[in-house]
Amino acid sequence: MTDQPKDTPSSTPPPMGDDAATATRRDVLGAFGLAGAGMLAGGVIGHVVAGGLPERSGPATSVALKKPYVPGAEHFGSREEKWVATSCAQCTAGCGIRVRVVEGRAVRIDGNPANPINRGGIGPRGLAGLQALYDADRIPGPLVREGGNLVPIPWDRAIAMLVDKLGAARKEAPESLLVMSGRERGVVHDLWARFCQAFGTPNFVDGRPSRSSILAQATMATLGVFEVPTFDWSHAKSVLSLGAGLLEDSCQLVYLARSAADTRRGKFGERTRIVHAGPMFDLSANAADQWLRIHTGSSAPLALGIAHVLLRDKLADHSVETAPGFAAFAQMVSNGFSPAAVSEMTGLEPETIEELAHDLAERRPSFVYADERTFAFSNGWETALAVLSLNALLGAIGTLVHIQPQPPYAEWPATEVDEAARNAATKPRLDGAGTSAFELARAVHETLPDAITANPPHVLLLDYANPAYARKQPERWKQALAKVPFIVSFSPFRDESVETLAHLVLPDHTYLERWDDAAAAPSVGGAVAGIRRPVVAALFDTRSTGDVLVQVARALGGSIAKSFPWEDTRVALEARLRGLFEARRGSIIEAHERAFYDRMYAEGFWVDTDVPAVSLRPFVFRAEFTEAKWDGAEAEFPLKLIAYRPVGYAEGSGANLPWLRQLRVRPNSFRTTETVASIHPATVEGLENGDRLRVESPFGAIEVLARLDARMAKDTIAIPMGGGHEAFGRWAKGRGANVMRLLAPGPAAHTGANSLSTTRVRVKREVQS
Amino acid sequence: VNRRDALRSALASIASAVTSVVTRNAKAEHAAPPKNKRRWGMVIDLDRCTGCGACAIACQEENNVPMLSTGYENRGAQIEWMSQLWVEPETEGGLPELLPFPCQHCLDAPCVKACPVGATFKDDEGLTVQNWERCIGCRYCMVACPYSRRSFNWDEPKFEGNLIQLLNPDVATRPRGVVEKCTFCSHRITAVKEQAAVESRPIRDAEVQHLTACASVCPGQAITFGDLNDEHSKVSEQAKSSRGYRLLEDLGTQPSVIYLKRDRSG
Repeated sequence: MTDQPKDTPSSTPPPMGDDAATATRRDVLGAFGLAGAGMLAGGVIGHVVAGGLPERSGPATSVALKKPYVPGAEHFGSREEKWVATSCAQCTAGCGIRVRVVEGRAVRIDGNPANPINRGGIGPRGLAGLQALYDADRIPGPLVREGGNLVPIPWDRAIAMLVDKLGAARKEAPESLLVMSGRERGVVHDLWARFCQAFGTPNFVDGRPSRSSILAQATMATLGVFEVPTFDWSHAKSVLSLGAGLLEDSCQLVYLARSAADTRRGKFGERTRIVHAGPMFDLSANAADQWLRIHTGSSAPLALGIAHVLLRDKLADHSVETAPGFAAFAQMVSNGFSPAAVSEMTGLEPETIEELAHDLAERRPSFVYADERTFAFSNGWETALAVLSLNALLGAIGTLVHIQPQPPYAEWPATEVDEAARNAATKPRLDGAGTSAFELARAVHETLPDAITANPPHVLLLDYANPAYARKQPERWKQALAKVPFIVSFSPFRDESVETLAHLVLPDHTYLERWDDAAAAPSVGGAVAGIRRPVVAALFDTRSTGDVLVQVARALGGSIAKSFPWEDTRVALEARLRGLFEARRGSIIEAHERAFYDRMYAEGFWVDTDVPAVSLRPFVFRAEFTEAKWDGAEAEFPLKLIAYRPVGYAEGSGANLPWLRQLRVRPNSFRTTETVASIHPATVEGLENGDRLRVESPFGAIEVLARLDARMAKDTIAIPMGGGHEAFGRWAKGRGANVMRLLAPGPAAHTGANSLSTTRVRVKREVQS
Repeated sequence: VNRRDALRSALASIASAVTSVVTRNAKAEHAAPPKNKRRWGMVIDLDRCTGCGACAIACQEENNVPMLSTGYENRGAQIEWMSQLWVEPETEGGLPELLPFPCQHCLDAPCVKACPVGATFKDDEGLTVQNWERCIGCRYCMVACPYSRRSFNWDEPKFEGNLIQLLNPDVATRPRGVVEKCTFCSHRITAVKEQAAVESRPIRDAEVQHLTACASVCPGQAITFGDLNDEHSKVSEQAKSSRGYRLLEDLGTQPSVIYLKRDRSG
């Protein structure tokens, strides 16, 4: 090509230079559109064409004229286009999505209208998924640490290295393997659990303590099921949201948004009344019919105060009177939670509490909604019990508050457990979950730094976990984890744990490149089984973590290999989906198994709305209450700190997805990459919007910008999570401040959850130079 | 003759011809479209809006709206087609209102009057459209727009790393030095028209109700799109609501975006 005269027409594709010229020309021609095309056909441009356009561009009137110029599109050939149904993974909701793929590029994510969870809607986190897929700073392939730096290593050697370390650890003590996963459920979560069981380590610590742990434990204690309940919005006439992250960080954002919208502008005269009682004006408060500002951390006394009025005025459901523990509960609320007493604790007028109770009782069916943001205070456990008890008094349990039925998945064959695994399984867990301190907990995060320092595991595997950033006092985690001799991260992104801790990095595909299921956080009434499938070919030399796990298990041999009879994640997934095929019910019924899977992969999900409700044992009341406690002396640290997940907090914090940084979800907000704290203007003399604040707790200090909000409580400051990354790609690194640096370390009492709002702080205005 | 030079001279010679065509069109369309034509409009029901911001992100994704490069994010030059506007209450103790905020596609559009080169004009279906390549970057339209719904490209659009791969091939990116704005996803309107033409039928209201990117993703289905001149369309039905209002109506701009105010009476 290079030695051809520049203007010679050529039948072979032109080199880049000509290509660019073609693009420019197309650009210019496109600009004039059809109006211009008429003139082009006339003589004016004739000699330009004769001047030597490459043949492939064809006559100037070709269809290419209508196509807009988009960088990169000059490489399109067929413009083959398809929509691929799959499931979102940007939070745990499991919304169904459709991805528009043009010539192998994912260019758009839309909600799947057929999916019962999101019914066509899709939240901001889900839309930003393309920026995770195409992030400029993804890890291109496996890395190994050599002389302090991470350098590329081929997959076979990387896996051999991991197998080696695991083999040695198992020989010595199988329980010396610690697996930390951010996942809460799903096929890869269960592959991890199975791997740990076959390996013989009790130390599988999943993602629950940072999200659903408290409510699942409280549901276990009161109803006998370890799961988060679902709330039936469509049949409720009145809903009280108790400080919930309802329309912000809820794992069911899209479902709740549609539910809230439908139940309020649905049929005439059937508007569901939503009251939000919380300490700050957030999106849930904005969307509610009424917002009641309550004292920070006072959801539990408010719930019990309402219970008091219901019982006093004989408005409670009669069936509860015979329930176990009811007498003690009734006594507790009637003695300590009169409207006058609760008014003191919550800051609401006694009449408002009476009104709330009467409204909930009279507009039945009604329920009280709460989620992890409600339980983020030191008394999260008691708050969850109070909320569930109040729902029992309203008669909502079993009518509006359900446990979502599971799809009829086929059981995997039992895990093969050899002698070594059997012995090791009896060893105590490193995190203390299940011990008397954390009786109902299945996993605990915040005990780990001390436990690891005292007794470091030999191998630590990090799956969707970034403790060097995302846990309280990340420096403390870094110091503890530095004692572990071999750490492997499966993160697709260069996060803090990859950069500072990992010895080996085996990057996972993103969720748009791999086979997986989308085990959704409970929301809709029916049984839903979503799947994820590759919508584009893997961009880099990455591998699905489930597949890597199967390979490692097979290489380890023995009973571990036997526990993994599947070639890869997809085969393991199908071994479960077989149950749905065999049930022959729900949205997909096929005569042949293969046809069933093909349809499931084409549609993206299976749903059965006509399933019997999960039967619940009678509600057990527990008369427990403590007030929210705060770390730090009030005299020295006058402000209560609420640390919360903002709307744009996707899994892994979402800080590397620039679209999510542009949301303006608070009044008086401004565009910045800094972390913005909400604070009452009277807190600091002369404070102005956008001023820089130094926030200090007994445990650390950060700098933020102030957003003045006269609706905030004067004793409270609210700081969103997700800022202050030291790594995690160009969009995240060095932007904002990490609120986790301020938080008091340690687990919540009883539940072992990562309570976010238990710390006091003080603020100082920084004078800008 | 170098091809590029030839192109350039050819362009120069036809530029004046095209200018006259475009400006003539623009002038003809200053007035409201006749009633027998379509008038594309949007109703945003704030009582269904939860403020999640999916509309704003969907818009950027669909229309290849560039992000500011790393390091330039705080300099106030962000390009916005659809964004979120907080309006503080007029009464003491009231609550603020959050509005999804696209171009209002005014019938009597101040930006169109301000444009000295006819780069932005009303099309015959009520859209305020803009020919990116005609824009000379004077930014008079930005000054004229009472809603600040126009943004200027201070720099070449940059799509770092693989982000270039997620560009929508149906929407041209805009070069440095031009003003850009919401188009009501006119490329999607074109696609619907073409489909209807292929099937020899009129456009159905059902296929445009959630046509724009912002409307199609909205979790609360707060946004409805359609023909305001079709009295049977969902959008014109909703526009009759007693909760309806338009932004800065007293300016006489006749916006095509109608907001239904949030009902906090319950």
